[in-house]
Amino acid sequence: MRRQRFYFRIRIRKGSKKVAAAVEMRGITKKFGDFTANDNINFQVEWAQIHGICGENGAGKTTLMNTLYGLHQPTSGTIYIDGRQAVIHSPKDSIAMGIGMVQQHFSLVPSMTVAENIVMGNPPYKKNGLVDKKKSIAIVEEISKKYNLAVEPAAAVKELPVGLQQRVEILKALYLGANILIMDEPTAVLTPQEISGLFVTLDGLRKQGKSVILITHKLSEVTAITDQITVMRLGRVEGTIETKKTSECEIARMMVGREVLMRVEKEASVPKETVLDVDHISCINHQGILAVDDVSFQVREGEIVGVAGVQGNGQTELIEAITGLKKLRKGRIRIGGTLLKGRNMPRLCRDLKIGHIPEDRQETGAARHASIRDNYLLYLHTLETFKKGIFLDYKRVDAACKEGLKEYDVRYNRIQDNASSLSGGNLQKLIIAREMYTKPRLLVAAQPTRGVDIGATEFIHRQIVAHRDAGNAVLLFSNELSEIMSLSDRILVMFKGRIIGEICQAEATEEQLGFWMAGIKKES
Amino acid sequence: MNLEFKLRTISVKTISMAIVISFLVGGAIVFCSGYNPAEIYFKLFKGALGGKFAVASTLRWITPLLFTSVASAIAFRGGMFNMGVEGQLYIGALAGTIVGVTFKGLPHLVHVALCFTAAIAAGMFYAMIPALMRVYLNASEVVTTLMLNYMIINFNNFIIQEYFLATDSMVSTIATNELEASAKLTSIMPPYSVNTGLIIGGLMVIFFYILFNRCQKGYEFHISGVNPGFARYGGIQVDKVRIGVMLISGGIAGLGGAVEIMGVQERLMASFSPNFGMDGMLAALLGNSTPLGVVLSSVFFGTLKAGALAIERTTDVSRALADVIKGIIICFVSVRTLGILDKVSLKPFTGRRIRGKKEVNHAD
Repeated sequence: MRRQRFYFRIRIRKGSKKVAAAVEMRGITKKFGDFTANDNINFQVEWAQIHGICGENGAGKTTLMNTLYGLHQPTSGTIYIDGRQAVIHSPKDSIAMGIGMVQQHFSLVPSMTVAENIVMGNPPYKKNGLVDKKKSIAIVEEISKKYNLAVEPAAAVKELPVGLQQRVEILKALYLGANILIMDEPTAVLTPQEISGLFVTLDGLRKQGKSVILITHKLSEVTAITDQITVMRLGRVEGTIETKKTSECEIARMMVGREVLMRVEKEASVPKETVLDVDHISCINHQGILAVDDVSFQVREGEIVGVAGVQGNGQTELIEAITGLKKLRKGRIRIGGTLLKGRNMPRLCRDLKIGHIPEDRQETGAARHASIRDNYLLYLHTLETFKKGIFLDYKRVDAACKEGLKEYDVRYNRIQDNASSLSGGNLQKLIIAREMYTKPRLLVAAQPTRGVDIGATEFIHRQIVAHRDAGNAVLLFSNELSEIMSLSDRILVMFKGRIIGEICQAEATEEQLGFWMAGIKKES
Repeated sequence: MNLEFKLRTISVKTISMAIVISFLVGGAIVFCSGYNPAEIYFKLFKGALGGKFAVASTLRWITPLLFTSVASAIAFRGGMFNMGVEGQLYIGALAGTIVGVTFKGLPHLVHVALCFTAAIAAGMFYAMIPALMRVYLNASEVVTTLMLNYMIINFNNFIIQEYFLATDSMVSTIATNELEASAKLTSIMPPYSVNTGLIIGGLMVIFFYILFNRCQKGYEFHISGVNPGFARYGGIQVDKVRIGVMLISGGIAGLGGAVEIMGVQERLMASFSPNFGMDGMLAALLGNSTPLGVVLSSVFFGTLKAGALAIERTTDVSRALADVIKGIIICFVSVRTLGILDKVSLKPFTGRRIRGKKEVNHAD
């Protein structure tokens, strides 16, 4: 491993006639059963470049990178690292070849220190066989200086904000000798300020001669930082382009395969009566910690209120409180004047016409092992339309289900199939179709387009705006600031369980929201 | 601790292969003990299906299994792993017997209806205890139902010994007097002990089908079983569902106990059940807790039971052979999560590859 790094440095310094590409993947095909995730992919990354991989969900980006990192074996095709053919059976092999990967979900031990986490893959030992803690701290200080990535080696990882945890992940990969760093959706959990910090880091790595592969579906980021972009669609490479010579619109078109409307078109809102009145509520999360702290706000008919915030600042608990899934510690919630109380709160909320597109569509929004029809029928089974005494009128249910799925363009085989047969985007559309069936007065939409491709996102956004235009209220929660900013009429920002700021859409800037999301309240 | 019980479906391939393998292993054991497996298996099937007596014997063993397997399957489908079907069967038998021996001079139908009502009520009561413990105390129903089985089996002995000990011929064992004639079920295949209980068992299967495929409540049970979080989100009260399915399950198990006594044994003896409850649970698992599957597996286990008794009568091989076969099936079916049998290619036998479980696609 060390030798290879040395070898690579010499090649760069000498600036030999033709430097081999850092990574070259030739004719990679990966099949899962009958499904082809990667179809004859040719892909090349140069040294000292940041290479973006864009594509809709299911385009095969992650599969390709998992193949490179050794988590999958390709069905066919070869991989060359620095010009030499590489056989990668496991991440162990790829780490030895200088490849590092920062997964979307970090693999850190929260209770251990930064230094311990970084050296974990290959710790320095004392003579007695124990890990040399002093030496590991020294090592971490050294590499953190070398790459200009400041961390506090003795701090416990769990105390760090997400942006710094990610930095620890990057250092971990660098410590193991990574020259090629794969980052899978690294910005999903960061605030705008943290994102710019990450970009400075990546730029620094590029200057040191390392290659970074950035998997993302956020177009603004990919055009801001990368040198080259490979666009994937339906398991194939749609094209590799130089960032300088392209635009967001062109990339979007390549990703979707047709022209995409980048902006959500909507009229100014005409708010009417208050639908949701949240009055000084507090509640705790499942660990018993206060997650929502004295929150009050109102949502009126005909407006979309967006709630921004970094994930884990009480949004989940607030959503659960409003939809009756969580008990309140303090305060009260009124829906159209009716106080929320009783034994079966979720049912009451639904009877009061609240629609809920949940954050976790796999576990809460759907039952994967039940049929598509049964997934569509939830709550609708209590409506008089579908009842026949104690029985359900399955003929009518089937017809309504087929009609609803058609309207929302859900692609499925048969409604008797399990919901697990649907792709993420189609499942999300099914959930939205179901929640829209009752024409809710208040739609609570949490991450409505997470993991959904551009085409479906466009569709979902239009549905949400149309729902508002029909005189209903929408409460939107999203980690995507751009989604909040383009859809909402009014924006609330949550930080540590409180609403730290409120602003109307016209006055909102990304910078201002970013400060609030980071908990900085500027008095101006 | 994760208390959510998740029901997984077993592929037909796994089930059939498990059955084939278990018969092969059973055959090997028979061979090692010095008998001809082919002959033993021939006798087993002849004893279960060859002739009127054999068929009657098979039907007699299918009857209680229909009740216990439907009882288990309903609980499983509602997300409750009811291991206490055996106990609910016992208390149902006890309640039915008490009514059957105490009341005298009642018309046949009235007496039978009374016995049934008592049995159902008793089974429901006994299933309600673990259900309430689960809902209010979050005690795993797997443990509580299993423990309650031991309690009721001994309680049953105590009640018979202290209050209902036989005063007629059967004084040598712990047993009650014979039921009043008006409380006995009519044979549908005289002179054999196949009785109207078989028809009631069939009705239970139909009830199960209608409940889960037609009823609004059944839909709620099904959704709560597959994903309680999803059910709660949709306004279904999962706790109520849990109590509900346990009551139905316990009621059917209790009825099964009464039918066994009233139709076949005619008096309640200590330890009267050769594990009907556990066999029913196995039948429910093997039948994927679907109405058709439950019927097929009950028939399979009933046949196996009748056949095993026949080979014990006609040869020196013990009826424990049936238990060996059942045990091996359980092993293969319960390791299904490892997918061992799903990965086996059937190519050499069928000429084409039957694809196993698909590799999970982690794309994005």
